[in-house]
Amino acid sequence: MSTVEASYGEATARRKVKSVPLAHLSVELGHLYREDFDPAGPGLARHFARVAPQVEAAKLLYAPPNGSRLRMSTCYLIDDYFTEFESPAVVIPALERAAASAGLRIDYLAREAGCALADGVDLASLVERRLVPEPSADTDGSRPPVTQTGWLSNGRRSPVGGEAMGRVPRWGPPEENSARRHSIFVDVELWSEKDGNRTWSCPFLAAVWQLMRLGMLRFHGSPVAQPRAVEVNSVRDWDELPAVIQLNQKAQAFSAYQTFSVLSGRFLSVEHAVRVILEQVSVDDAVLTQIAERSEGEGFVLPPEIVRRINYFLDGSIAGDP
Amino acid sequence: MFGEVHTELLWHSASVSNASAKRILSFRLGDDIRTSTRPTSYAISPDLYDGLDCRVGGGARHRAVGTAASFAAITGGQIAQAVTMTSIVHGENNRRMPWSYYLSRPGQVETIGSEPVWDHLADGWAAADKAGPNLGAISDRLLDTVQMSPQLSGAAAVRRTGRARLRWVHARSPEPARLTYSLESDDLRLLRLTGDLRPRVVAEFAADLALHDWLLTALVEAVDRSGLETGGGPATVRKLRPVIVHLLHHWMPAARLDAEGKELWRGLDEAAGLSRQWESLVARVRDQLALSTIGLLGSVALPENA
Repeated sequence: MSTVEASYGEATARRKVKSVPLAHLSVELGHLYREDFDPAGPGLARHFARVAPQVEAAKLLYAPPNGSRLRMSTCYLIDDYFTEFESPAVVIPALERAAASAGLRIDYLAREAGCALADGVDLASLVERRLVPEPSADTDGSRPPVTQTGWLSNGRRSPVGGEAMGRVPRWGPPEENSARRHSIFVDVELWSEKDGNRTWSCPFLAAVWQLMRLGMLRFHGSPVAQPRAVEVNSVRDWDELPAVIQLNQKAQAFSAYQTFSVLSGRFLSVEHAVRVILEQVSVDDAVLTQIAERSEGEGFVLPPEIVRRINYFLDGSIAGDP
Repeated sequence: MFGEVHTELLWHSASVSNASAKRILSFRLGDDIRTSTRPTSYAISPDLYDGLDCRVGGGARHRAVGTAASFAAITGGQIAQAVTMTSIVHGENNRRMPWSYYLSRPGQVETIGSEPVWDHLADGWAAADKAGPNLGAISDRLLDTVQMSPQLSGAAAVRRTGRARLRWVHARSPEPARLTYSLESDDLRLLRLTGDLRPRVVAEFAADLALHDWLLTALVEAVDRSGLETGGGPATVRKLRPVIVHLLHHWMPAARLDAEGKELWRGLDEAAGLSRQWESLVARVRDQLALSTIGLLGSVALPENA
């Protein structure tokens, strides 16, 4: 009698996570608000001239450790979520021209509205559902996490109340959970609602934007908001465009192991809020493992925490400052 | 590692398909629910995490920070389970780290300060219902979420089967696996293991054990209530009917476990005799059915020359 070594498996029983192409570095050349946009003025060209040296520095700082060629892509974010913009046919060529005047090329143009909704997927909700709020001291799981709907903080809020008991409310300080001696307490508004319509906050969409650039979002195991090339001249409305538009057909991959953003100094508080949010996002383990294995194969040792893969250069003199 | 699994019959009049189970277990947008159909239908949610910052074990001297991982599963379209677990490790940092540090080590809590005495920690958690972390409360909430699903009718197909808890403690060691299993109360079981086992293997074994212990308990109680002990009869068969229709076919111990898990089940079953008790009870139920059938046939007038 022979013995048979048998095993049984079912496709639906396995976790399947599709991978996305990954560059080494995603460089954000700026973030444009409506009020900063003047296609005819010198502002845009000045902005890119200020950014260009930082891109050169990034090439050195984030190069692969083994001396192989850096795969880098550049991107630019347009705010079409909070304000109305001129048509893409006006804005995009103007941006490309201004970048070219500083020797830069915008590989991908992203729409802020695309961080809320992309390819029919409610990306912002998808990320919101993955928040694991950080616990304050003495959280043992007995009660559901203390959350303030629509807000996310990095600590324990000031105590409120007392009034209902007939006492004057006494102020107590809020407390940062991982404070080093003194607290820097931040409470971030994730969204607001009016007449049942939800408006996501700028920091929340910017957190989604970082996750997109790090290639970490999946919808039922498949990548979402992947870049697409479109014929921009025939498009009148931003809504007709994909979340991420590929402007340079020869560009390296949009998503990357690490991100680097050159932003106006006024984004400091927004980016602080972004980090408070990203500190509390639990990314799919399978995606993290996939990225870790690929980066290690290329000699990169990435920090395990996603916030540590995000880098900035903040400059008070570049476009976007009041 | 500490863990607690809660088991309960799904609050639904019949068994649910894997497609429904997928909808019930979709707690987050865009999540993938894994399913399988052999040897019985099975659906399992991805891991969810809960933040913890509390004293651990008995004596409560050690503060630990991190997350508990939990998942929900539906077996055979009818049995719902919520499993919560966390691995306790000694942290090298003397303070609480930024939250992203802990989220990048999901399902793990790290102690802050001096290294705990591991045996005390395990004893404390196993013994006291109140010693932190309260993984049972997390499992309870998750199971409630499953049971409140709009996919379900809200009433279980078999009445008076409760929610059972199985709490486990696993201390990793290089020696071969050893385990003890005990009935602490009507609804609480305690499993203690040592050995070189992966946390996931232990969690899956604990869930499988909890499911079969729950089935056995439900059958024992149903038989007790049925009047089988006091002679049986048509009323007994009527009372046993829901159990026969909805529970008996779920008994498939270790069916989905890997080789290590199967080995654990074999060892435990030898000591605790769960299978023996199950088989003997099922035989009694079937005998009762057979007797009742014969009785019914006897009361029907047979045609002549038959």
